[in-house]
Amino acid sequence: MLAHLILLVLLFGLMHAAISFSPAEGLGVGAGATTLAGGFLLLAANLAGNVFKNIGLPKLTGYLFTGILVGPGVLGLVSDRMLVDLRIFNGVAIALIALTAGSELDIRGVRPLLRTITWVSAIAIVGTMIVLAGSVYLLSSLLPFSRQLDQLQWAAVALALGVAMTAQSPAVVVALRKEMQAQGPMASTVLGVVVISDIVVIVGFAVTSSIAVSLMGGQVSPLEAAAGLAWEIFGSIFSGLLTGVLIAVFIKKAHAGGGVFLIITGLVIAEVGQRIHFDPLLVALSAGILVRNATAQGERLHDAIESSSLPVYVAFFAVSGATIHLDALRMVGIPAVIFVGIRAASFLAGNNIACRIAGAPAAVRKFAGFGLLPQAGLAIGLALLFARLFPNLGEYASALILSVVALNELTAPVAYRWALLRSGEAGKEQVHVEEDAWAAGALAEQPPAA
Amino acid sequence: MRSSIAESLLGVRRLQEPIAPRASIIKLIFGFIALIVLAYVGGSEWAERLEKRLRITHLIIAGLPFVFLGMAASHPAVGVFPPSLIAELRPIIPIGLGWIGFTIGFRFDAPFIVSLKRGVGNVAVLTAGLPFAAVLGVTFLVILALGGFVVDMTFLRDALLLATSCAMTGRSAPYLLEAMGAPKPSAENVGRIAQLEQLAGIFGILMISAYFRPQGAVVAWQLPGTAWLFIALGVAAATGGIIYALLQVTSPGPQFAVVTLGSVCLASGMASYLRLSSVAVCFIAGVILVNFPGNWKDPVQKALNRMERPIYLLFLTAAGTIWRWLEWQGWVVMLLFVAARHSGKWLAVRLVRSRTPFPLTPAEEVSLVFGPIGALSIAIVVSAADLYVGANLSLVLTTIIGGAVATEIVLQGVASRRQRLAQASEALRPEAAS
Repeated sequence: MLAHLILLVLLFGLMHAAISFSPAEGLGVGAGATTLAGGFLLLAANLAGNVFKNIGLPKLTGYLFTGILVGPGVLGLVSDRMLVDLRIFNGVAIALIALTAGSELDIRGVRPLLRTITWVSAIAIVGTMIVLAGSVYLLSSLLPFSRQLDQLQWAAVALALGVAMTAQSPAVVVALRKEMQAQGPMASTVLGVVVISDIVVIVGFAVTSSIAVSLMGGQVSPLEAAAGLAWEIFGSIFSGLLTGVLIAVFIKKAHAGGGVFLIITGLVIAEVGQRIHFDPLLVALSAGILVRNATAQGERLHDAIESSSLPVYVAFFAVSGATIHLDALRMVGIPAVIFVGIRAASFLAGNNIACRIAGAPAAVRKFAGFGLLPQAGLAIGLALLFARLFPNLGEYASALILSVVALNELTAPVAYRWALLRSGEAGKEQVHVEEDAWAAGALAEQPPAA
Repeated sequence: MRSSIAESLLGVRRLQEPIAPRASIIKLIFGFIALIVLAYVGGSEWAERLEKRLRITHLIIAGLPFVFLGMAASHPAVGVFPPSLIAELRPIIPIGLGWIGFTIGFRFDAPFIVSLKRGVGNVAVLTAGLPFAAVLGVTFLVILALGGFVVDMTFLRDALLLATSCAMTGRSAPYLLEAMGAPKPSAENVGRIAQLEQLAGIFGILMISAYFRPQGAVVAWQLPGTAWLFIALGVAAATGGIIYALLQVTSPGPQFAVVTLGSVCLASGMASYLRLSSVAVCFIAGVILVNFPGNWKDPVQKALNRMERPIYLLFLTAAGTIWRWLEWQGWVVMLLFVAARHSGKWLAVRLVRSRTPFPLTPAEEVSLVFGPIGALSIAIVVSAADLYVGANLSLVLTTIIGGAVATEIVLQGVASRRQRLAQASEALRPEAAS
């Protein structure tokens, strides 16, 4: 561990020396700066992850903490501009994470848990939305921006805020499950619930915020909106199924290079999806589900992702950490802490009730609620969208969501890790990772180029 | 991105960003996929065997389809690679350059250095230095002939780039020897000289990046060129040392991928950020790394080697996007430069024969004189494009790509002639015996 800490200090020193060079725009330094920031975040986050693991915390928290430390909010070793240019990692990471989630959703295996997943989604997710909305409404005295709204408007805005704060993170759930090599009904239930919750939250936020917008005098076109939604959801799923077929064919025919192929596929899904308004998460999720359930390549897909995805995950979470809005905490610290507590309590209680109704195993009833706590990209996206939809409410409202997300990003992975350990499902996954693609153990040696 | 569905429900996105035209999206999808698939397939064993069967010895020749793909894809009428996509993917260039640098550096390990015969360094200096001087000389003569002698820094820089790119012999030169029936030790000898010549390319781009730099208030470090040389060495040593320590504490498995990729990005990104050559800095770091003990050397070397060809092929595509092949001046001077290069090589070989005790067989001499331009040349041009954004490197590209075609034609001609001669002398031998 001492070696890791010393290397961290040396890396920080090297980066600090480099950025003092400060070349101006126009010298084409964007590419170099992005590459430097990417390499630095990868190495520093990896080292920090190992340090955190040694002290009993999730590696993922180490990645996030590194991002916070080196980001613009604290040490400033990685600038805002570098983070913007590193967004290419976000798209690839989301696609790979969704591919992983899809490849782990064995419908036959999950069927016994479907009843539990449905009840937890209905009670814990929807229930938490209502509880949070109600809490926001009742705690209006702590939220100055409520004063400019009448009761009905405030109720509608509270509903939208409640839905946004409910958003979870499949990325964190998948990453922690991989890190802990967890397998079992609890981990599978959590994965199923957060995947369903993703869509429920998105549609829920759209509906509640459209109501709030119209109550506040804005204009919404239902027909256009429905058409757009159909394109994005069904188009994403259909293209995802096609992508799944391509992936399955490649994995079957090619004997090596699966990891690189998947990263490139993730890049294509992210870049193209962004341009034609498809949701990369839905595309990749559908592809993964198809490969797992309709072909014989499910395990090989899983292994190929295992061998190549770690660099993408490390970079993704480090960048996420660097973009955590800690400054928002200064504005709305106390209300944010209160809502984090209410959210956690609601998820845990809702999960407990739902599992009792569904007759779920004890491990699921006691611990699955902790898997619903993590938050990341979706909630941040909804916070920024909220700010655009309701500019008259000022930045305080979106800061509230961002603060809740920041606190959950730091604390929830620790809680879920604890839950995986206590449930006994950590370390149960059968690991048969192919030799590291980058180490090229399975690849024939190539003669050198001319 | 994650809130796109919600946004569309509210009609927010449609007001601000219309969906891109369907045709351009289809082009983008297919172009992107085609490029990646081609690069990967082009770097595979199957492609290498096909090249050998077709007796194509040169990577640039094998990669010509990628050049054309780059040219076509970036043409406004085709529009597969829009400027926004190219800008977003630019960070891949320093990573690729760093990867190439590390790959070449990893070949300069202790066993290679020990295997060098006495005097081979002098041979490499001559066979790289004289073509360099010849090409540089021809460049200045061309300028004089065109009626002026205005040498500005940009011209000097490009001339040095051109000379550096032409100085090296491709590492496929031993294939010519094999085609002529020379024994394996000859091929190894030429291979070593060709590998040493790569040092000339590395040294050249290192010097260019040190002495031709942005100046003024736009950068915080105002230093003379020589200081930048030392900084380049220092950056390489520092990153090499840190990477070594990281590899020592990393256990095998997925974390290895993180450390390998992160190390390449850190070293190449730092070099590119400081406006130094990523190839050169990573080469030096690679030489440092490979000569320290560690269990990680074999897997790292395999990973580096595996991606080398696909990266070169992607560089050829990138070269295609900036190449203005219709500039006829480039083709005219290309012939002069190629002639100057071969003349310099010929002179070098003559000097080796007459002035040094290093023994070169006639076949080895022919191989060195007519050997193709090295693939590292394309990496040097891409490195220059990364260092000097907006520079017109079309003339250099024409020389390298056109020169690669020309030298390949010459090489095949010489190899065929030599083979016929060898076969003829074989046929005569039994007759003489009888």
